[in-house]
Amino acid sequence: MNEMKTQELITFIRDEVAVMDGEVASDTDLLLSGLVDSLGVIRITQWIEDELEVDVPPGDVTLENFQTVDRIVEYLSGRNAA
Amino acid sequence: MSLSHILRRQASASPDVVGLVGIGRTWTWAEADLRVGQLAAALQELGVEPGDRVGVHLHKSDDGWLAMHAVVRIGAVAVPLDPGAPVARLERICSSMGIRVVLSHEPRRSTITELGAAGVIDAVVGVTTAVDGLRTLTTADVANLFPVDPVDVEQDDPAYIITTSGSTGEPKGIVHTHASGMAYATESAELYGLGPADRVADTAPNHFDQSTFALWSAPLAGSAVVTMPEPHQRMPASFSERLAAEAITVWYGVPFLLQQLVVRGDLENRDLSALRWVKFGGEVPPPWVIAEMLAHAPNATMANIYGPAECNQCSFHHLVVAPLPGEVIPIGVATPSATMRLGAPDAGTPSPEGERTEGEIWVSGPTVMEGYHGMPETNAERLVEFEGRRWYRTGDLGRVDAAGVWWFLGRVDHQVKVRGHRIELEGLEAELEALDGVEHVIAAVDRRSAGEDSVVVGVFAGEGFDLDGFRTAARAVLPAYALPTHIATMSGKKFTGSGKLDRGALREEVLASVETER
Repeated sequence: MNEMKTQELITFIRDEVAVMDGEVASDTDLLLSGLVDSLGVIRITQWIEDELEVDVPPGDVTLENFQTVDRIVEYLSGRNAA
Repeated sequence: MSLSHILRRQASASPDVVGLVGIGRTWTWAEADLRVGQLAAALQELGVEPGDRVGVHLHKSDDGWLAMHAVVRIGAVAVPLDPGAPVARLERICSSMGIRVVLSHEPRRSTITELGAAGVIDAVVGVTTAVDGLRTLTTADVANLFPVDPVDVEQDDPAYIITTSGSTGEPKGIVHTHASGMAYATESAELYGLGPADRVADTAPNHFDQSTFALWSAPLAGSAVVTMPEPHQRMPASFSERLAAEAITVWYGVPFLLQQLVVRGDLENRDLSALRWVKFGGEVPPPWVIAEMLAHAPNATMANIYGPAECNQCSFHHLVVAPLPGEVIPIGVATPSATMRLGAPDAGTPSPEGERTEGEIWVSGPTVMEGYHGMPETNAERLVEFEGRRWYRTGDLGRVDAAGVWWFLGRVDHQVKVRGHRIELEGLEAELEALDGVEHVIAAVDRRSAGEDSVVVGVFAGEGFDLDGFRTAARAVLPAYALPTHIATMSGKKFTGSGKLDRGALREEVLASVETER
């Protein structure tokens, strides 16, 4: 995922997904903080599938891969490498 | 026996057995008992006395479980506070319940600080460093305290209070006593055959009545409690991983989570053979979700549990075989201790036995609450003596068939459930109508797909209505599950012939506007 798409994802999370107001950075904890709820996780997954045209199997939607935007980026680059 | 003594009794019987499993740490019953004794000592140090109400504000965690036990240990009354609720709502709950002391943890520091700054609370226990302006006992302070023993309480002393939003938007506190809490703990432990070999998933937040199963029933039976924190609940594949790795045998959850698990939990790669019971309540998941779950948990029976928070569990229906598509799942038969009866919706009492097959559900039994906190009028209306017994009027409509099986038909009022949380639409409307620049708010529930219901609203407002401002203001007063996912601005006719707001028709209009947008 390139820098521009990463910023777009952050904006999407901040404006459309977050259940609380506030800034979102690439290392903001999305899950422990309660910023993103269950429906939010689904919407982030769908965003990735639609915008990046990557298929995200349910088994990959884990705490490890989705805790922060950085982790999502890392997960996706792992996918590209594979 | 009282709720105060459950943990101590287990710690005496099997001190070295692991009883509580958090993330990355475990507690034997004796270790849990020691920590609860120290937390209870901290509360006493801060002047908490029997009968005082103490806030418990933690995310789903081993610490949250221990905190609830610490409050009841000294005869105080635990009031679990939604960790996701906005500060304004928590302020109202703390004020109306007279809560001055809160058990919490570091992740909730900012909320605690705000509650302190607003002058709502005086003291906090459980954070790692002092909170400005509050008397603080940190985790390190607590670890140095001499543990206190459980105190003796009367069976009808209050033990914990579950808060829900009332029809005026004001929080409503459901008061359970040691007697009603113990009656539920004992009965549910027996119904599901809980024993020392069981591992119970602790999923529901503490302010949600389903949590009492892991909180009281499990330690009563000596079953280990395994914490399932919120982040796991948002990530179905991580949730199922923990269910399998911890060899959970009994899980009580909401249909929303169950559906998430079936759809996104990667269940074909999980060994759920340890699961004996998957219990759900609040709503019923679609039949295909039940069927999928049964297929992936080969040794499990599923249970549809019925019971408003006011009465804990009242009835159950057990499913061993997958239901057919479109099949309606009943709420089943009354628990051994409960008596269920029907009444005419406007009647002040239930009808004599056998007189009706449809009507409002009334429940009598030892698991029914003492009453709502500080609401004598509501109590007089909802808790009624009849035929020598005390009955709770549920506000639920039901039917009983010739075989004696009960079926849920809906609500008398406009109360709905969203992801397992109870919302009174009128209360929600009242809260939103109090916001700036708003004239009327119409709330409805969008049921586009079962298990993923959400709140949608229509707003009547004057010129220059600021939608973004409205959205921000709503976030400040409503818990996340009650936040509207769709806001329509409304105009035109809104009153019935008699000059009343035509909420029924307007709800349809709001729902129609959601459809148009899709």
